[in-house]
Order: sequence, then structure tokens, then C-alpha cells
Amino acid sequence: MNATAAAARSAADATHFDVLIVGAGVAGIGSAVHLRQQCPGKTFAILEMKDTFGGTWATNQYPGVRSDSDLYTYGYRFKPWVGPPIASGQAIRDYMGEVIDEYGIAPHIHYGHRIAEASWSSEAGLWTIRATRSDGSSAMFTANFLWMCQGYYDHENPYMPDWPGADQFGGLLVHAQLWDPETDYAGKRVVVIGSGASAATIIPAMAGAAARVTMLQRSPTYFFCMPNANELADRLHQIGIDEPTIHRVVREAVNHDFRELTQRCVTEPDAVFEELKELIRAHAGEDFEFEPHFTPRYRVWQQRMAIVPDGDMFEAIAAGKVDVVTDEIDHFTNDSIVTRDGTVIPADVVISATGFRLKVMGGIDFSVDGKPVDFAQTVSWRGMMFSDVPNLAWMMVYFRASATLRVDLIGDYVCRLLNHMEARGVRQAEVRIPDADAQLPRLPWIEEENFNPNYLKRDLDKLPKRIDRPEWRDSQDYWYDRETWPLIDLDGPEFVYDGVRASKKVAEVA
Amino acid sequence: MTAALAEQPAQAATTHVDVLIVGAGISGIGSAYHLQEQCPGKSYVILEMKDTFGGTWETHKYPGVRSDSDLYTFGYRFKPWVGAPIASADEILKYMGEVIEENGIGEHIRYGHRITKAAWDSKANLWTVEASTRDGASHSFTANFLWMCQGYYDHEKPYMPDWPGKDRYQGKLIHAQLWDPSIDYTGKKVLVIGSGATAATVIPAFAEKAAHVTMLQRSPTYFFCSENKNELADKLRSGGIDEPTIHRVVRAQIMHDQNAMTKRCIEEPDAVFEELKMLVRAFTGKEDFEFEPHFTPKYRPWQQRLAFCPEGDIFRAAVAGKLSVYTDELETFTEKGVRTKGGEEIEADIVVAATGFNLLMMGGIPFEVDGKKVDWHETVNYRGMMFTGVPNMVWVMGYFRASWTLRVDMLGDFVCKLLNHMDARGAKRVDVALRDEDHNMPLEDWIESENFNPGYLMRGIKQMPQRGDKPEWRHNQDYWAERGEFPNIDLDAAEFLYDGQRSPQRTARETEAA
Repeated sequence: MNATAAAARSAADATHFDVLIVGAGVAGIGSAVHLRQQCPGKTFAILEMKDTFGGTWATNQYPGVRSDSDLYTYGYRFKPWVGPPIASGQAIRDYMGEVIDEYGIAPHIHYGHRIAEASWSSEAGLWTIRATRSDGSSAMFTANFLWMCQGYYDHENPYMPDWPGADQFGGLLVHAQLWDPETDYAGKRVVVIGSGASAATIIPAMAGAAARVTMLQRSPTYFFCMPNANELADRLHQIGIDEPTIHRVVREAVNHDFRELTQRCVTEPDAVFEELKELIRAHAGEDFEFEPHFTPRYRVWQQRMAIVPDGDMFEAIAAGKVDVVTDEIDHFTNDSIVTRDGTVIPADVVISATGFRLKVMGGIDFSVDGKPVDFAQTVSWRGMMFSDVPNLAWMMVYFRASATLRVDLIGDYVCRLLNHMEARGVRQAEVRIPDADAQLPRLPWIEEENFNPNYLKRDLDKLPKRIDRPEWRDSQDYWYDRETWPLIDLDGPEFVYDGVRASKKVAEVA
Repeated sequence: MTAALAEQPAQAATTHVDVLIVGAGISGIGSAYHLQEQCPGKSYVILEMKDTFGGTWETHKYPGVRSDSDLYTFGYRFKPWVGAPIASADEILKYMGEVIEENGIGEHIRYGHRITKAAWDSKANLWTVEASTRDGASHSFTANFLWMCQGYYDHEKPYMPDWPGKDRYQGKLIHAQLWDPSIDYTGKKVLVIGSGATAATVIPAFAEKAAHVTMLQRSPTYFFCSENKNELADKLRSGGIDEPTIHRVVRAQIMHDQNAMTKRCIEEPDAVFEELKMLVRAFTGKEDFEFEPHFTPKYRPWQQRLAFCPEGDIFRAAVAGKLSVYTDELETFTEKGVRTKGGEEIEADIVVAATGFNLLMMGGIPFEVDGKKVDWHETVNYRGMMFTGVPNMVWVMGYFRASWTLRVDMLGDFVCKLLNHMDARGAKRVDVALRDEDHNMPLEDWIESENFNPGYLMRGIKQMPQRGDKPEWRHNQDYWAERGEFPNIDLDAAEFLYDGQRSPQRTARETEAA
């Protein structure tokens, strides 16, 4: 039986939707709202592996879990954020829950559906999706368009190095991403391994109840202490401005300020670092010692800066509740961690805040016309579509700006594309590298000197490639995308509809 | 007489419009905009005495002439202001010109038309308005509704006390309102008489080129020194926010702050005065700036308008030695200047009287209703905009303490709602009339002197309509209260008569209740 016939047979007992959204996290929910608003005629469903919405905010349950972006920009543009800028995981889930209610998304979400396979048939003009339900049963769906909102990391298998002796450790060793909120750490000696946003969140949250908290980092990170309040938002509230306007205005202002900061990180990194230090001193005291624990080796724009609301982590450090050790782990013993230089850190609970494991396209087996898709062999078009993979868009995050900014931009783009397909009367849309550029060398997803966190470096070869053309790379530049995406010519040379280059078709018609 | 003129008929045919707007100043232009937007079917003209638009901003040509309100609130709500908060007259005229241009208002304006009479005829339910042009021709208009946007003061005869010895004076004596910009004051000794917003404007402007400026005031004024910029506007602008949003947000901010300031002026006037002094010290850099006796007013800070002083300019002129201040009364003019009651001789080449307006009720136009002359002091005002016994007419009177234009926008909404309501009811005439419960209501002068008491108002109070003691029958000068009340005015309430009848709905309701 050939692939097309198989697809046709499965399609027979499958549920059909015009659009299938994968994942009910912040991307999936936002995309559903845009689809409803901008393509009101389309049928759609959201398939969600978990039994609840929230994605990242359902996965991560570690103490203090909170946003590491301000919510005026992390919130959707269509739904005002009314709380303090840095929000708890629960507050974000509440916000998402309100969106689901207010926009009638709930009936469209199919929880407990883990997608195993997605196969495209050009003949049928359909994706066929096989999902496994929580009870082990199988469910089949067909869809014209797949909107991949599953994120970019593995929600079940986080990254934890294989430390020697870890299996002999008698205490609790757990990755932050798998933390069970029932775990009691009161009075315990806690070691947090890592220095990123998760570590910066967990450390002050545990510092009160734990006997002792040690931050063990391989290398230092840049921290940005900011008050967990937005002066402009407070001012606008005070003068009686309506919430939608406040949201819009503050979003713009925050975006603007972060853009300026990002630019300054490149043009005057030393001055920025001095300012970051000043902010830390405001919480930790004038004589706070930055060497060796808080002097990163990389440049300030190369990894995401960790936000420290109200300087809480530094206040905990200054209050003597937190020790910081900068060294690599040599091995675990029964009740401690021993570092390379021989420091012994006694521990009852060890939380590994060592980051994500990248997972391309949710680990789903993709095929196009019977041929398996290796995304690493594709070239990304603006980081959201992939060469020769039809009727599919991926919502990838911004590393330096709020991911949700991109949810809104991609929402506009995908809806425009769907409406354009409708107007042209085509059922298949893909992007293909123009012939003139076909021989350009395939380069990794992102330049290492642009952005280089470990989770990317570890698995960069699994991600789609880029070529040296502005539209064939993920700019990771919100401002660039925001300016250029609305102007994308959907009949431009890279677009292929029903197998025919759009520009060629236009030429033929003319 | 030329042949062409001779051949013109003495009286052109009568022009009929639905609405006749009097005055092409800030009120008239804004009202025309609202009429076009909210009553798109209505025909209208604007009759303007001058040969150009601008009203106040056209009349005043003294050095430095500028707004004394911030333009975010003085500007219309529908047209973003994009400059510094305090604007020159030229900038304001340019802004108004853009409004006229962008909305096609120009073709509706009849310039050079001075109204000589306005007469209501109850049989025809029409106003007849006679106007004369400079060529001596008279023009007749009829209108269903009169929208009086001519302001409240006499543009041609400002207030100047009848000082003794004026004839002796050899220099130039001129009222600020009549200032001719061709007058050269370079190197001259200038005396400014007055202490209000006008004085505060001309003094720093004169100080730039004059040999010396002297300010003679009868009594001191409160000054509010501030940078001529709006931080929030700048912040929003640098954040890439669109101008309509900036305009709306900054307007709200300024109104909020002014409201808070007004409340504080009442609750803690001394603390406010201390802060005003701090600002003077900050702008002059002079910690020991002497406020006694010239800058310590006798009245409370909310009783007269605070004079806005951008960048503390008047105080900086004083500290730089370019300005002398006398707080005294003028006894007489002399050949070379003036002598005060305190015996000071002040020499001046030019004396500029910044002594304020003369109130002029309804532009001094003779009004008649069915052949009977209207005496405005015999009418009772409805929220400062309509008058008992005078049908189909609204007057746009702004705020003393808040920006005038706030009320232009608000009355624009009200008048359009009223006009549309009349159409819906098929009514040709609307009156406001005292209700049964109002007949024993004590009637008093337009405004309580303890509320607001500038000289021009007190001098002209007997020209003005009267007020009652209920919110409907007074102009409360309270933007915040009106902002809540105006959109909720029930046009079928008992104080409104349509075609001479109380609203039938209301009558029915009352019957039901009975």
C-alpha cells in the first residue's frame, strides 16, 4: 500500500478540521484567538498532550515559578494585563484561562492527546495526524493546515548532565522542570545547580524555609534587577486611562525600553554591565562583591538576561541566606556535592536548574508524501515555515523579547496566508528556496556569536538550517519582524501554491 | 461709487441654514467640527467679524503671546497636539488652520461679517440674523438654531481704568489687547501695568530687548512655574505611541493633575503656595528669592486663575535685574511716566496696560425674541449655556480654571444630541424653562464671588444672566462634575420645553406616577 492510499484510508475515520493547532500553551491559545478573529470561517481544534492548558506554566511547578518577561509584553496584545509586570505561573494560567473563556476556545481543545505522527498527502491536500490518548487509544485527525505551537523544548525530559556519583546521592536530586510542589524542603539544605532564570527564581523562593540554600553555578549570568511595578502603568491607572489603552501603551513603552537596552548591550556592553551592577547594589549593598560569582565570561547580549524582580535574589544573598559557589561539579557523594576544586557542599535536596533539552517539532514523526521529514535538512523561512514542508507554521520564541510578541505576529501572518490561499483557491502552500539561491551553504539556525545558550549549542544541529538571506533565517529581532512581516508578499518568489511557484503562476496568468 | 458696487442689490437674498455659528475662534471651529461629525445632515455657516479665523489668538498680538493653558487640554479632543504644552499664538492658529483644512470647514465661514441683530420669530420658528460687511452691505440669514461661539469679552475695547493725567503722558500708552506688533521697544523703558497671565507673558518677552521693564501691579498674583514640556508625552512619543493615543492619555493626565491641584488649593492652600515658591526658587536658582511683598497674593490660590509661567521666565527676568516690580496703585500719569500712590515715580517710554477684558455679553449683539429686546440679566442660565426665554440658542462659555476647549467639545456633544433629539421628536423649538419646583428659587448673580472673582467678571456681572441654586441653573465651573453630568442630561426632563410643551413622555410618566 502506498503512502497516499494509507493516508486516504486513515482519513476516512478521522475527524477533520481546517486548522489543527498543536499545544494549548501560550502560543496555542493565542493562535486560536487570532484564527477565530481573522479567519472566522475556519474550523479548528487544539491538540494538547497534557490534561490542562498552560504549557510551560503547567510544566514548571518549582517554588516561586514566575515569568521572566514582563507581562505587558508577554501578555497578548488583545487582552490587557492588569497585574504587576512579573507574574507567578498561577497568575499567567489564570490570565490564559480568562482568554479561553472570553474567546470561547475551551470547546476546541482536545486534552490528553499526544501526537505520534503527522503525514502530509499532496494528493489529498491534507495532513493526517495520529494521536494517542491518555487511555492508550488512538485518535485520527485530518487538517489542511498544521499550526505548531508545541514550543521548542522537551517538557518531559529536561537537560541534566550525567554527574559522576549522582546515583549514590542519598538525598533528593530533581530537575527544576520536574519539581513536585508537594516536596517539603523546610529546614533542608538545598543546592540549586544553575544560574539562569529558573535558578534566580527558585533561590529567593526557597531561601526563607530552607535551612540553607547554595547556588552552584558553572559560570556567572547577567542579572537585571527591576522593581516589580511599572511606573507608567501605575501613572496611567491613576489618571483613569482604560485598561486596553494602558496595555497597548505600556507594551509599546516596555518594548521600546528593551529595544534600547538590547541595542546598548551591543554598542556599550560595559556601560550596561555597570548599570546592572548599580541596580544590584541597590538591593545587595554598596560593597557587594561581583567577583567571581557575578562577572560573566560572555557578552551581555549573547544570552538572555535573567530578570530579578525587586532584586529578591540579591537581597537573599545579602541577608546571608544564600551561598554562591562558582565551580564545576566533580562528583556527588551520599550527602554532598564535591566541586572540581574540592569544595564539599552538603545537601539534602539538589535542584538541577540546568535548563531545557531542545525538542524539534515536539518529537513528532513527520512525513511528506510518504517521505520522512528531517527538519535539520530543511531551511527555515523566517523561523516559521520550512522549505518544502507544506501547510505548516511553527511558533518559535524570541530569545531576547517576550515570546508572545511573536505569537501575535505569527497569528497575523498565518491568518493572512490562510485567507490568501482561500482567495487564490489553492489548498497547498509551501516555501521553496528560489533557484538562484539553491546552492547557498546551509548554516546553523542561529549565529553562535548572536545567541549562544547551552540548550541551543547542544542541539543546534537538530534545528532547521538557515541560508544567508534575510527571509531564510530566524531574525530573532522583534522589531525587524514587526516591520517586515506585514509587508510579506504572499505571491513572492519563495511561495509555491499547489506545487507551482506563485511568481510563475502570476507570470503565466499575465 | 463704482459701477459694480452700484449694481449690487442693497440687500442680498436671505440665506437659510439649519445652524448659524457665531465666531470662528476656538469655540466656533470646534463646534463646526462636532456639528459636521454628529449632525452630518445639517447645513451651517459661521459668521466671523474679522477677516480671518482665530478669535482670541488673532486679537492678541502682544510680544510673546502664548496660551496660558497647556495645549493637550486646550487642543480639541479630536485633533492631537504634538508640540510643547505652552504654545505661541502662531502655533495655535496653525493648529486651528489644520482643523479647518482637514475637515473642510473653510467654505462655511463668512469672514468680515459683523452681526447687527439677532431676532427670533416664534411663528416661523426661526432666527433672523443681520450682518454687515465692511463695504456697508447688509446680509440677512435665517437659521433654526444659533450657536453662540463669540466668547465673552469685547475684542475691540479692552478694559483700561480712566487713570488721571493720561493726556499729559508724552510716551506711548497702549492696552496689551490692542498692541501693534510693529511697535519697536528695543532699548526702551517699558512699564507693564497688571499682574495676570498677559502681564506674565509680555514681561519676559519685553525683557529680552527693552532697556528695562517695570511691572506695576495693584496686587500680586499666584504663578505656577513649570518646564514647557510634558514628560509623559515625551515618554510616550519616544516609545513610539501614536499621536491620537498620546493626546488622549496626556489630556487625561493633565486634567487629573489639575483636578488634584484644584482640590489641594482648597484643602491645603498654604502647602500649595509653599510648593509654588519652591518652583520659583528652583527656576531662578535663587534660594533666597524675596516673595514679600510683590509675590504674596491677598486672595486664596483657587479664587483666580493661576498664571502659568513656563521655565520660570518672569522670575528669571527679575533675578537677572531686567525687571523691577512695584506693588502699588497708580495715582496719576506724569509727562515721563506714572506716579504711584506710594509716591514712586516710574519713568517709561511705553506703558502697556495689561488690565484685562471688558465683559461683552453675546458679542453686544442686540437680541430680540418676538419683537421684545432680550435683557440677559433677566434670564436664568441653564448650565451656563442656555437661557430662559431665549429659544434655540446655546452659548459656549468655557472654564475659568480648566481649558476652555474642554467645554467646547462637551457642548458640541450636547448641542448635537439636542439637535438630533429635536429632529427625532419633530420639534422646531426648544426652550429651557423654570419648573414648578423652581419658582421660589432665589436668583443671584452669575457666579459666587467667593468661587471665582476676577475683575472683568465682577465689573460685568450685571450684564450676565442670573443663576439659581440648583445644578441645572448655574454654570458650576467644574469640569469634573460636568463631565459626568453632561452625557447623562435627560433631554426630556421637565426643564426642557419642545414647541412650548413639556415633554409628553415626561408628562405621561408623571401621570402614571400619579
